[in-house]
Amino acid sequence: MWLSAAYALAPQIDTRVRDPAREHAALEAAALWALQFTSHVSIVSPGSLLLEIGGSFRLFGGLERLRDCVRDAAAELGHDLTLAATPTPLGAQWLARAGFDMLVHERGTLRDHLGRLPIEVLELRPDAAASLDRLGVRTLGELLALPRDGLARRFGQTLLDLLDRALGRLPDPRPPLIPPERFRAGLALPSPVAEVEALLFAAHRLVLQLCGFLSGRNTGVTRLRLTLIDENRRTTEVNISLSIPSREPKHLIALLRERLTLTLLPARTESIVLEAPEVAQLAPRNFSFFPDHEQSREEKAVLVEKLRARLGENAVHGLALYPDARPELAWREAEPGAKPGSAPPLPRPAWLLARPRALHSHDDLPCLDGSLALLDGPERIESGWWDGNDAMRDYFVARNAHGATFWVYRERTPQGNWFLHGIFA
Amino acid sequence: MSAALENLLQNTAVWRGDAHSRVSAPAVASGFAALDETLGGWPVGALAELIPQHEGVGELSVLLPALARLSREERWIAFVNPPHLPYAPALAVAGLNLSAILVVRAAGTADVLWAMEQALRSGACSAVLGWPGFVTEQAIRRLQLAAATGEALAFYFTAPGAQPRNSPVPFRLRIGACNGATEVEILKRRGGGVTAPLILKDARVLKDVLAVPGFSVPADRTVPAGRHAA
Repeated sequence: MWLSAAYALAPQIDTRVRDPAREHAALEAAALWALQFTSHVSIVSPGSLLLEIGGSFRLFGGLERLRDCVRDAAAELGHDLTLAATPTPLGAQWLARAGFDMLVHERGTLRDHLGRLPIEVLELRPDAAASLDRLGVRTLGELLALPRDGLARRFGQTLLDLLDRALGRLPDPRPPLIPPERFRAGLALPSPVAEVEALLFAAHRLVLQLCGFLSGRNTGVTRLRLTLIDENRRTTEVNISLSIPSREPKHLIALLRERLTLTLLPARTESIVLEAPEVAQLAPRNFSFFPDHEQSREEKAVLVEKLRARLGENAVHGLALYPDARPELAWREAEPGAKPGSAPPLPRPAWLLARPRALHSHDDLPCLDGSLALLDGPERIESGWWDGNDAMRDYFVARNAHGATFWVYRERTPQGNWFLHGIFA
Repeated sequence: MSAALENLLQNTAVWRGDAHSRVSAPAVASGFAALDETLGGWPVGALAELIPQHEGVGELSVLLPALARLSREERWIAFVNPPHLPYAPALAVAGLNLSAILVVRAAGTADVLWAMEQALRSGACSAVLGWPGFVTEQAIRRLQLAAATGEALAFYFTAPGAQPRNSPVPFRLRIGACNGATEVEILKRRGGGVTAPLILKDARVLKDVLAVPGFSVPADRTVPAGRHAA
């Protein structure tokens, strides 16, 4: 039909130019995604994927369950499918192409099901198609009913072989898709986008593809990169690192959301690219009745990542001890969960001030909300002459009239200034 | 029930007796006999507001024995936006396993509350301590819900000396000092009936904590020889 004729019939239609390159790219992306169901996926251009599921449908709990899994996952990805499963790849391909959404369990009934298909599914040369049409053959059933030697004479051995492969009389090996080492998938947005939620909506699709790809390889991503490309081909990168490999779409999307809200987004993003520069093998997990050590380790890491994604890499840390006599150096920020080290059991305040605070003094005693009574001390700390940060201090435990207890020190200098260094909170 | 009564019960200022008849909610022993007896330990999965009267009266020390026990679990103890540096040597001396501690710094109140909520909700924390500055009623409800989801101890500290406000927080404690001991005043709790606030002044029990070196030093504390530098 001509476009003008179509407009004449339905003026409100929305037309698009078909883009075979992008169609194929989408099919390739879907093929990577389909690796979560079987390791043997092949692309049949245009528009079909073949999944060899003989080895995997038991794992998914039967053919029906697997079909539902595939359909639900594809819907989430935004694809609408016609799905046919048969004992032969050609059979499934033809049934699905002809729009028959069905499962054929037995090879014995395959012939009957295929028999209903129109002859066009064979995609014969025009002259062969015309000559079959002249014979009055409209369906595969009618074709299969013809004598084999006559068919071979008229249309050649190729047609017979094709039919035999479809019925499983001849082997029909398909070369499997060799997945790339690194995942990289792009998506052109239908219209330029500036909002985080719209970007996430698009990224969600890529994340699902990524997760399908990852589960096919039993790996999880440890570094994730989302590149935003604007109308002037300028790029903005969002990088996320994970401490425990993950292929949980929800978690990855949550991390992307936090990071994107902090990123200065380009005014008009036209396309996005998701890459997994670093993946790692997922630790196998045992199904255990008792709370799983491995699982809680994962939950802990997920929390740290989530907090870091929004607050920044340095905003979350653990604590470790360090052997130094100077109180401000006797501890370190550490990676959460790191081995803490050990410390001598000395009276120390629960809060340490980031910077000692100078105190007034009255009658040779420090003052903080009134004058302080010295309860304990001095504990003399003299250290650090070798690195220039030498400390020469006498520490005291001191308390004011309100009962608030502090850790103060007096510098061992002629002035003898008082400082507040800690709080016994 | 009449509409007027329904309306009245929506008011947060109204305490409902039936909310106080519940018994034996999950709790973690506080390490202080008097506190355990009155409060039944620190409540798990319920938000508690701690109001220190001044900084340095033992507002953190009252939690440390419980935190020390929880730090043996395979979960985090999160300090969200603490007012000063949580001092690792002191926490180690109090028996905390430092590798369970997570310190989170957040800039604004919104981020602090967000981080607390995430930490509570995740189920990956056994206790979450937060210093959010100002907390709205709505934020309290969110935190309370998150605490119940994640089954964690949940504390937030007000500014020192703050006046208790009317809010839906299920537990509210004021922490002060009395003759060198830490004093805990329970202003609001579950299961306690609508009784007058109870004041804990068991100096002997509290001395057990205070005798742990490094938290608070009672006036009569004797310092073992050898601690002093020459």
